Amino acid sequence: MALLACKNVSKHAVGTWVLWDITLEVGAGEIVGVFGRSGSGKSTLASILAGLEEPTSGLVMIGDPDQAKPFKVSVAFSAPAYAPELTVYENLDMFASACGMVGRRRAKEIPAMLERLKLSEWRSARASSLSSGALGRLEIARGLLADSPVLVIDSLLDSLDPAVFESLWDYMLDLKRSLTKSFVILTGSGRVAEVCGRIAVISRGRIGFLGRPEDFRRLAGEDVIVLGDMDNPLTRSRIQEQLSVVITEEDGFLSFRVANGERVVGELLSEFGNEMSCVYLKRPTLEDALDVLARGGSSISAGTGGRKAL
Amino acid sequence: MIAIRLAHFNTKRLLRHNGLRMAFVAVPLAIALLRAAFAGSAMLLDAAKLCPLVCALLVGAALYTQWSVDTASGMISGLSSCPISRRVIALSRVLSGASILAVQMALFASILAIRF
Repeated sequence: MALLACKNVSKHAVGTWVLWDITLEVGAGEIVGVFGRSGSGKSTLASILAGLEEPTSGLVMIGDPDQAKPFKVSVAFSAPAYAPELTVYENLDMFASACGMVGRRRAKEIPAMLERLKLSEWRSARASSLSSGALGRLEIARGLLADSPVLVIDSLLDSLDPAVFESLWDYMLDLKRSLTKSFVILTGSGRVAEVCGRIAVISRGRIGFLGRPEDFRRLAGEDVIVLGDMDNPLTRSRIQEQLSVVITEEDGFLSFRVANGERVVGELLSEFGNEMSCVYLKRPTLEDALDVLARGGSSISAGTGGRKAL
Repeated sequence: MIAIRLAHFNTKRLLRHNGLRMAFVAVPLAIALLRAAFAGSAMLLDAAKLCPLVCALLVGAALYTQWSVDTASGMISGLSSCPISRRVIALSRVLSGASILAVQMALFASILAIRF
């Protein structure tokens, strides 16, 4: 059962369709990535999911109809919401209080959250003195402390330190496994989209792909293997014959495309390792696939709609 | 209860602005001292009656500015994504203003109570 669902959501703003016909479902214990370039409509989608903006048409459905108690979707915005006059700890204390968290639980969970997001050393520092990266982490901490079963994180994971990202991701996976929280990760980074269970790729306000990241990557084509200098000119034709590939020369480099690059590199090294100076495997990234998707055009028009809590 | 907790944090926020804190103290203090010093002046006695109004306007202006800044910075939206309504947020702001006003009035009254 979907905890959060958008059905044919469109949004018209400033004379243009920012979102068009977005249909997306987020189930319990799911991490769904919304992957797209800057300006593709991700932040507008976050505001609509949080109930801060109304869609021009379509429906946003929040909650499980079997559960009596409706909930608000929590959002960690790309532009952090914080009180600059308060310390880091006080900011989290204030938001946790606003979410109805009792004192004992706050005293336990806030320090743990600060530790997890490597903010402990700034615990007593005024929020106004934090760097933009630390403010982003404070915003994520605020979102995670909220009791909502769905957290939307808008682009904040893109700029995280790898160490912080890893620690945070492990925690998010724990929450996902225990079905405590589901996540919608809005991102422009292929590295982040790659680790999501399912991604919706958004381009020019529409969803161009919905599925597993590895399936989307295939849109960018096969792996490319670049070969280093070969002493023996016959090696090129032997490789072509043995692997049934077409080797092309570009900018002085020999290269060819294959489906399973890793396996082929292994074969090349064992068979022809002595005859070439190096082998380089270039795997298409999700960004490459996004470029391919973005090259396709679109034209749109719309109707009326609203918002509904199940 | 949530409104009271938020009011507590909001009062902290307001009082951490040095200029604002000085103004909150200076207005009732100055009016009370003037009234005590010129106790014989009927005009000053009448003017001192406006002290609660002046203080309320000062606090109101501070709260209005804070709300505008918070709306522009996304702070109100951030709080709204918690399971509380905007009405609770607004109530907390009013409560924090009322508590500052109460302290100002207590300061005003205590100075007037001193026999110079």
